[in-house]
This record gives sequence, structure tokens and C-alpha cells, in this order.
Amino acid sequence: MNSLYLVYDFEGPSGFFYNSSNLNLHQYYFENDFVFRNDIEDFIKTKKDKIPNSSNNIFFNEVKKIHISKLNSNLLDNQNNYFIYPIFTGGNNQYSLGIKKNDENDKSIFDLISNKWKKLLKRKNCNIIIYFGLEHEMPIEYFQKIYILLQNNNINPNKVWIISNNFSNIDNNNKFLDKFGIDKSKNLNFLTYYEQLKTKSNEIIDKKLVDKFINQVTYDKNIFSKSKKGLILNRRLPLHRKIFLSLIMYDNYLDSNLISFDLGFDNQRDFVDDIKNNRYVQGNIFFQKSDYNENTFSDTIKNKIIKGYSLLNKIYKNTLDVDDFKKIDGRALEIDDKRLYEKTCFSVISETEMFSNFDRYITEKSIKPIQQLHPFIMIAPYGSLQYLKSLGFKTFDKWWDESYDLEKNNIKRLLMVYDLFKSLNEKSFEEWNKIHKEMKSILIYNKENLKNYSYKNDNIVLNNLKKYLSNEHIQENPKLLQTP
Amino acid sequence: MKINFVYDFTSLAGPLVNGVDPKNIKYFFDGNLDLQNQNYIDKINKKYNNYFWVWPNSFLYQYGNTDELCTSDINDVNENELYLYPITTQGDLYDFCSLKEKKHQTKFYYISNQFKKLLKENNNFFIYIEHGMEPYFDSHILKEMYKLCESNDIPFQKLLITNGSNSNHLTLQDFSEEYPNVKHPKLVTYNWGLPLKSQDMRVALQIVDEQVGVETSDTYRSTVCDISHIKNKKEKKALLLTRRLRSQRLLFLSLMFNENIIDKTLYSLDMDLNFYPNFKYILENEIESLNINVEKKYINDILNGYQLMIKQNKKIVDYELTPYLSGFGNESKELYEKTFFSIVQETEFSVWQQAITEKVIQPIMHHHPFVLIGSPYSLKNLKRLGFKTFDKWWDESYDNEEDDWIRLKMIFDLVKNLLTKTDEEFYTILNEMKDVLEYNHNHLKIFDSEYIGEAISKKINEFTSDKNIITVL
Repeated sequence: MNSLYLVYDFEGPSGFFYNSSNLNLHQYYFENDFVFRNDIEDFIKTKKDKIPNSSNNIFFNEVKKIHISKLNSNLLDNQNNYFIYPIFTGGNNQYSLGIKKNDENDKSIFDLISNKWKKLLKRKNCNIIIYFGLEHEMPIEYFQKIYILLQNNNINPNKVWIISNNFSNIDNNNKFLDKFGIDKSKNLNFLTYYEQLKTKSNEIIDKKLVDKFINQVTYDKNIFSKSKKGLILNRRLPLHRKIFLSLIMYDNYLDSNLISFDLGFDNQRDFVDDIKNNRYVQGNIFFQKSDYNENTFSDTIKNKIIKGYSLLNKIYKNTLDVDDFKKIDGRALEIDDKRLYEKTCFSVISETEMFSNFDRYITEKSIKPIQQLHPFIMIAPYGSLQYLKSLGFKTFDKWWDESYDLEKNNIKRLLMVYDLFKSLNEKSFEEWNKIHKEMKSILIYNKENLKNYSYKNDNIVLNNLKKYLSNEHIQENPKLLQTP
Repeated sequence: MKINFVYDFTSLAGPLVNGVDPKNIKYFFDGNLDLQNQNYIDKINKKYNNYFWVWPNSFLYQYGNTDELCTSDINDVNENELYLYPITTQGDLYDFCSLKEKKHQTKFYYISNQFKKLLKENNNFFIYIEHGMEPYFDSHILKEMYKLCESNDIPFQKLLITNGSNSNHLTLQDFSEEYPNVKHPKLVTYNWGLPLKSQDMRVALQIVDEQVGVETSDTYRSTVCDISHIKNKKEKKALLLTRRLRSQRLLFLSLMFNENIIDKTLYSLDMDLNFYPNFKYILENEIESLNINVEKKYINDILNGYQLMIKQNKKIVDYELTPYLSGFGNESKELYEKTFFSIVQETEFSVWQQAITEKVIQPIMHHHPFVLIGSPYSLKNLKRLGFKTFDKWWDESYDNEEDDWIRLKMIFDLVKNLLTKTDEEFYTILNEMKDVLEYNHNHLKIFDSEYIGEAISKKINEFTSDKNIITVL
């Protein structure tokens, strides 16, 4: 049986330091007994106004930890042993990569890896694992920065495994390598890990929370008590959400759906100006001038959006279950009021990312309808439904067209989803009753499938990891949370 | 009993010395970290333009049955083992206690709360303070340490302080006068100069290869004077080496200059190393401020001698007297071959700071008899450590005299008398002394790590006993 070891460079009075922790923040850890924990990071952020560049790696709570000075040849020479140098960016990716700095002499996570470990990386069974969790964005600048930092630190990218829920990393990495003619034999390794899947799974198997969710019995009862068509929950209002909401307002769908929004929350930008000037277009080094027209809304649509936004602005705020969005984290994964799902026929999942082809990841938002036995459509990066399918979930192409998921053009996809939303709104409640009855087995199947990803199957993550590290389990888009 | 050395931090190369300012921990992320290598430490000091000391503890490691633990690794405490949290004074007690002009947080401040908790909860946990390389230790320092313990929530009685003092009993007595109800820490006497100089000699004689932990960039390998020197033709009667000019040294040398007998000695002098640049003023106006109660009738003689010293200003016998020339290594056998006996000027002189250093070991190494300008009972301590002295040939009662001036005068009179002896008389004396000189030289060889380990073994149980005064060496 293979053994995993987590290797740490530094041990303090309260245990191991996070690897690659910002050296300039040690004085603040000293004030907190050198405890490396999330609440201390919060203390540093809020009280000291400094952003740490590493955090606690959530994967490895049960894995044996070892200090680098205790690695001897007996341990290292045993090829059944795998040594991992764990780093977690803690969602502060720009600080971790040294793109942003608290102080001029702050270093990136790669600069802070000890030379001793860099030498040990020459061994087959030694690797670095970086978890880019919480914020899963991976714009092209990050690829660029990572390869440069690795080169500067003489680290073979092959020895680095990047874990995040961004399921486009492998594609984008290949694009990047092609663009710059970099030998693909020296590319980074990517694994996907959908952390909210586990959190949401834990919730539905928690007996204390059982009343928070629609179950098979209440599902049947509620089929005939729907009063609204769609459920659209919005907290922050990035452009794609405001566009979708504006179109809804323009077409007068507000009353027939349950929709939350608050234009007073985290809404600094001039939306109308953004639409007029096409600021939703996210260019990058792969973007051709000719792509521009294909990625901008027509004037007709723009006018609809602007007019719709004017109507939205008049209402300004619409409360469903939460009045003050500042009081909830959003990312802390609160459970929505199940009555919202009981009253409505389907969910419109409005994901965090939509317009960036480099930030293709989904969050807890995509799991919430599954918890509540609710069918859904997605305003999300292309391939999101496909990604859910790869995790064993079933979707709803038997009842409506899901081809939007494969549309890579972001504005086309957004409009396809909107058209679908309209068509689902046009269905009568009788039609929905019928659909709900038909799709019950799929909804229940999905909820059962979600249970596979709970803490009870933590060993799956580690077993998959061991397989990937030993090249036993190569697949196109390797996932740590891959059910057996 | 096993000793576990407990460290708050484990760096890339293993445990990191305790008491490091967390701002400096970043310097220990260097991949080539080697805390045992002073050259490395010098290099990173230079590289980061940040002066910090990282002397590793060394003395109790020779015990053999030791282990190193990180504070966070201590889950189960073994009651039959000792847990010591080592910190060093780096030879500078005043800086250690932040008593110098440049104030800073002390190492007590940086001791982790986790270790403090263990310290309070377990009888077999101590903060182990090693004060090596300099002999000074007294109740004033102990009182400062007490205050530091109080302000840092550290139980004072859980300090285990090793030092080179042979008067720790007086230190505790004096401490108790001000703090009668405070429980005492443990004071462990370890005359560190002895094993280090023993090592120096064994390296010079090629009995062992390396001079681990002693060599620095300004260290030269010593040469050792053979016993055959007792028949050599001599240039001078005595060898009188002086570097830093402390009060007892200034007084003694002034008397030597005044009596015009200094030239009978091979002596070194550098007035740039005068600790009392206003010595003349003190003699004339503030004699009572001097730590030695000089008899008034001698003041003019001393003033006269001091003027002659100023006139002489500097005299080199082997090496330039830089302030930091190491007392380990750098031995020149020629100085001993050219002279009959040594006049040793020890660092400490007061009865409150009874200490011997490498200075008195030097003549032993070189088969030289010596007269010792040092603290009372220094000869007695040398005898306790197994050496023989020279009371068969001259009066050594000065060693029992606690009054500093009287003792100094007794020594001066003795030296003055010895310098009147003819070469023939000295050849006769040295010939008679031959067995003692050879015995001392050979006895010095025994103080190796194995010997120290055994010495610690004999005393280790006292570390957890009620005793507060423990003498290991």
C-alpha cells in the first residue's frame, strides 16, 4: 500500500507552519502563538490589513505530516512512499503568485519553497501540490506567472500539481503552451476538486438538517402547489446577472418568478456605460480582433438590456429569504429557505463566472437545486452541465434543449439560456406538474449521487491522488472527487 | 535520565535556536542553513545586514543520552526524563537582559506560551540558560532575570542556568537579601574554559583532528611548549599577557611599571584597550569609585606607574591585540619557551565573581608555573578540578584573601620577589616542579566530551532535586 507524507519546511510551537507562508507576516503569527489557522488569517487580514499568501490545505487532515529535516534515505528511497509539499493559496491567488504584494519584499509561494525541497523534487516520489481553492480563477496571466516563477526557481512544472475547481485548466494550459511553443512534456499537472460538492453533500446527510430540504414525500405534495415559474437567487451582481435581470425586466417576467436582487449591494460600476462600451468582453492574448463582433451584443439587445435595467433600477431591491446580503457570506454556503423551491418550478443557477473562458468553474450555487430536488438551467461557463455529468449527475435534456451548455460564445450562450428561461416560463403549471412527475426519479437520483461526495468518502480523494501521482489513473480531466 | 532539548521551531536543517525574534525567522529559510557553522552565520548576517546571534547550546549535549523535540511534538511527558528549553546568553549577559544602551525584547519574551504552559505543569521542565565563553555572573544579573521572568509569566524557579561562576552560592545569598521569599532557580557551575582549552591543546598536539565549534576566521592553530623548555635559555623571567585593561590589571601593571620591574617580564600592552581611559582622574579624585579599595599610600606609586604605561602605550609579543582575538587557538609556544613562569591576569577579580577562564589554563597547557591575579579561591578551584599548584615553592595564601586590594598587593609582592630570583634559582625550581608541570599538562588532556558526559551523569539527578547549587565541572 502506498503511503502519503505531507512535508513541511518549518515547525513552530503550535505545529507546522503553512508551507510558503509569507515570511513578513511571522511577527503577526507570533502575536498568536504561531497558530496557523483560519481565524488567525482573518485576524491578520482585518486587524493588520495584510493578506497572507498561503493557508491551511484542506485535503490532508488525516495524512501523516513530517518535517523536512526528518526525511531520511530509508523513507525517500521507498518508492511506495509519496511525499507531498502542500501549499494552499487560501483564495488569495494574486498574493500567492506575487502579482499583488503587502510589502515590496513579499515573495511568491514558489520563491518560498525551500532549496532543500527543490533538490528533493528531483526524486520521482516528491511533488508539490498547490490548492487554488475558494477562488478558482486562472486567467492567462496566472499561467504566465506560474511558468516564469517555476523557471526562476528551477522547478520542473511536471512536479507541480494544481488543484482547483476550474475544469478548463488543462485546455487553457495546452493553449498557453501552444501559443508560446513550450514543450508539453514539461507542463503543469491539473486536478479538479469541487470543494462545495463535499460541503453540500455533508449537509444533506446531516440528520440535524433534514428538515431544511425537500424530500421525496414533500416533493410529491409540492408538485401541485407551485405559484411561480423560476427561482433566481442573486447576491453580488456581476454583469451577466444584471444583464439577465434586465432582460427579465424588459420582458416583464419579474412577477411570474421568484427573483432576489439588491442593486445597493456591492454595485459600484456604471452598468449602462459597461453595456454601451461592451465591457463584458474579456479579451486575452488568444482573442482575435475578428472575435470582437461575435462577442458583443447587437444594438437591439443592448437597448433591451438598458431599458430593462432602468426598470430594475426603479425596483432596486427584491427580497426573498435574505434581506441584508452583507450578513451572509455566500461562500459560507448557507442553506436557502426550502419554501422558495417548493413554490417554484425550476431554478436558474446564476453562477459566479460566465464571461471568462479561463475561469470555468462552478460553485455551491449549482448544487443547491440538486439538494432541493429542483430542476435547473445554468447561466454559467460553457461545459458546466457537462462537468456535472462527469461527476455522475443527470440533467434535463429530455425535457428541454440543453445545447446552450456547449455554446462557447458567451453572449450567444447567455441569450440561449434566456430564451430557454422564457420558454420555461411559457409552460403552464399543468405542464410543469407533468414534467415534475416525469423527472422525479432523476432528481432523486441526483440527490443520492450527491451523497457520494460527503466526508464519508474522503478516502476517495486520497486514493485518487495516489493513483494520479503514480500515473495509474490518467484521464482527460482528472478529478479528485471521482466516485468509484 | 534522558535529556530532551525542546525547541519552539524546527527549521530546514533541524531545530532552530530558541529565543529568536520572529522577524528574523525568515532568515532561517535559507536552504543551506547550518547553525553549527559560525562562518555560515557570519555570512547570513552580512547578507541580510542584520546582526543576530545564533550560538547553539553545547555543554549539556555532551551528556550523550539526549534528544531534540519541537514544542508542538510534546504530547506525552515522560516523568523520568528531563525537558530543557535551551537559550544562550551568547556570552553577553547585559545584552541578554537588555541592559545595554540599545534596548530590545529579550529571549524570555519570545518563549512560546505553549512551552510556558508545559513548564508550569511539569516538574521536569526547565528553561536551560547557558552562559558560556565569559565568566561574569552575579546577583545583579540574577535579579534582572527574575524581573524578566515576572514580566514574561515565567516561573523563576524553573530556570536552570549554567555558568562559569564558582561563587553561585554567594549570588543566591545576595539575591535572597532583596527577595527573601522568592524560590531560587538552579545555578549550575560549569568551568567551560577547561574543556575548551583542553580541546585546543589536544588539537595542537594532534590527539584529535578538529576544533569543532571553536575555530573562527581569526583563529590560528596553537603550538604547545614542551616540558624541555625548563632547560631553555630564557629571555625574561616571566610572561605577562594583558589585553583588556580592567581595574585590577591597571593597578598591577602600574605597580610593575613604577617599580621598574616590568622589563623583567615579556609583556603585552595596548592602551587602546583601556577600560578606564580616565584612570588618572579616578586615582586623583574618585578613588572610592574604583571597585578595589586601594590603600591611599600607594596612589602616587600607581599614578607614576600609570604615566609610564601611557608612555609605553603599546607592546606586542605575538599577535596584535584586537578586542576580539579568540582565547581559543592562537597559542604561541615561543612565549613560554622564553620565560620561566606566567603571571596570569584573569578576567574576574572579585570574591562575588569567582571564575577561572582559559587564561589560567594557558600556562598549564605550556608546562608553565603561574601566579594568578584572579578572584579568591581560584587556586582552590583548580585543585578541586584535579590540578596541582605551587605552594611548595612560593606562598599561595593570596588565594584565600577576599579583600581585593590586599590580595592584589600580596600577589604583587610575590611577583616582585620572584623576579629577584636568578636564572639559576629558576632552573632549580623548574626542575623540582617538572613532575607537577607534566602532571598538570597531562591532566588537562582528560577533559574531553566523554569526561564531561560522565561529569554530567554524576549530577543529572540533582537537576530535578531540591538543590539549587549544582557543580558539574
